[in-house]
Amino acid sequence: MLPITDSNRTPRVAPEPDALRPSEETVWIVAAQSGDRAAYTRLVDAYWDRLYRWLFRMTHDRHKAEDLTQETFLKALAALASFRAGSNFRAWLFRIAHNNFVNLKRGEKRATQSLPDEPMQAAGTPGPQEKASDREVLAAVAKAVADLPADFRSALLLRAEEGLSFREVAAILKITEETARWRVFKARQKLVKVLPPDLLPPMKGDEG
Amino acid sequence: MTIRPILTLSVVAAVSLWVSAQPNAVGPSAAEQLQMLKNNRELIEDLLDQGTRVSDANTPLDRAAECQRSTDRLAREMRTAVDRADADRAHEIGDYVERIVVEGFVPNFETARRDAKPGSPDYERVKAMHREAADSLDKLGAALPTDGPLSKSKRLQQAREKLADASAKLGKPDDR
Amino acid sequence: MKCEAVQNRLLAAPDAHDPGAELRAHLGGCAPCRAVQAKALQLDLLLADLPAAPSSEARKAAFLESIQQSGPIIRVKPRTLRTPSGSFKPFRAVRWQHTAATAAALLVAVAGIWFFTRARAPVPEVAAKPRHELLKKEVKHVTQLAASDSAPQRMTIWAEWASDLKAETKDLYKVAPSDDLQSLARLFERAVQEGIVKQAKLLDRHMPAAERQALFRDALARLTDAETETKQLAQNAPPAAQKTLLKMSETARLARTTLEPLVKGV
Repeated sequence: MLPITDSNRTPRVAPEPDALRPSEETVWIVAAQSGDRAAYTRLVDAYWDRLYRWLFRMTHDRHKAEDLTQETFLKALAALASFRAGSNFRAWLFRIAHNNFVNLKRGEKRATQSLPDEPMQAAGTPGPQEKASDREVLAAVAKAVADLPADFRSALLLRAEEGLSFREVAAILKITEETARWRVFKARQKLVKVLPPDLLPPMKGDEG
Repeated sequence: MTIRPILTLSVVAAVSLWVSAQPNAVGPSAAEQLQMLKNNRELIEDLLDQGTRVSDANTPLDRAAECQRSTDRLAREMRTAVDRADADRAHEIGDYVERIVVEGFVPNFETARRDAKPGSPDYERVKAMHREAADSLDKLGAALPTDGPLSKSKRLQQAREKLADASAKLGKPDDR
Repeated sequence: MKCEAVQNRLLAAPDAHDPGAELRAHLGGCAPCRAVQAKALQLDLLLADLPAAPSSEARKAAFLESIQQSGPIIRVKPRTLRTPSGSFKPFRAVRWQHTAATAAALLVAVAGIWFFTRARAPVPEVAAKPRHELLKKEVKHVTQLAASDSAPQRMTIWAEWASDLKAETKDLYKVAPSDDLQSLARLFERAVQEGIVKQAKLLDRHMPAAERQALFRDALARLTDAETETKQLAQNAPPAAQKTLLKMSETARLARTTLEPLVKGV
């Protein structure tokens, strides 16, 4: 078993999966649509970090991820009137972000697959408390994820990190639900094979 | 006009002016949150008290009065922050004062004022409440230092602005 | 069922924890497939924990400030927007390109003004300390209660307040000393009894049953959630926390049993 448990970490309080409750979020959206600046900043505050994290994994570049995050919120602000309050704001936001990412990719040469040099921080823990083996595992997984084609990576992360349903993933990426499911499956299949054998229990042959 | 060059320039301009990030992108640790609870425990208990009073208040006038008490409680907290030269805390509390005044007190006060017949006891109470609320905000603003190193803190200036916003929303007692 | 098919379905499943009855039946007797299930679960944990270079808090703060200060872009009601030509148009009628371009230009202006004023300010600003979410929410609830004018609204607000206190307890039960936890438990009890239950009893008894049920649904769901969650947490909690968690569970249970007859208008 992988030695990644909570017992050897300083307890860290993870942010709520949805920092705003749906009913609260709708109130803010309606207020923002009515012109309330403070309401919109609350929405930005609630979604900035998760949007940034996803865009960072897509771009592997902190500054690009921040640029895209900001651009996403500006575009969302401009299009807010067209959003139907009460429907899935998160998916709508991520769709805008994905479009921005696609536009960025079109304008650039293919990015290298190497990870940036900025100091990294695991999503759930402070660095010093982690064991060295945990960091190796995470680094290996991060590298394997970074090596995935962007289409597969985006679907996998929306599913695994954001906890979105396949239907929501499909809506964000403008693909069918079946394609979303397929991409996540292929990404997981690739990751499981790529990870070093000593990090995971060995796979045995078929039976039956 | 294409947006990306302007946005990129503005983003680069903004980014180049800022100090490097704090590493905390995912919320406080349990230890940090516990410390926050310890620091705020009394205030949290008092706000729940106020919540029950606001909840039990039957008229806009009574609700406005309870909002004023909530603001007074926060004002004490703000003065403590100033005494400790804690600009962050003053800014934070300023946010909360503004919120309660603008979203809690003012709407109830306006309704009460509209409903109160001139010359009635409620009318006099409304006038007195207005004076008291305006006075309270003025005193709180005056408690923020205007000289010394703390006065130059951007967050303290923002706190002052919050109080000014709240005062503006409240209006001067003799305006009406 | 062939193992390859099972293993593929495990990797494709929305939740490898519970892959369905058919796969469970196979997994019960197949160690290699169970190993793949374990890998799928471990992979999801690892993916949730991937490192990332943190975003700049200052960058985010600057952006939030630019939104707040970009007056012409969003204004409090009534809503109009001054276009570059000077004429006023309804906010929703302005094309997004103008809005985004103006926002970007304003960001540059704000950054420039900030730079020049910063150069004169002798006190260097450090990044703002994180704020206590529970305190923020309490202020929000006080203003919501001040704005509410009916028992149903107040009941909903108190239900949310109680949930926030439960969430705070859940965040801290492993690390907080007993007096802090007991304070949270007392506050939870007050929110439940003086908030939810009190408002529930004020509801009009002649309210139609369907409407009554809809009103109570949220409060009952939150109470049930609090009751079961705190009880579960108590099972593995440090001794200082167990008593508090069980007390909260009992508070929620009592409130729930009080509310259930009220749903029927009894």
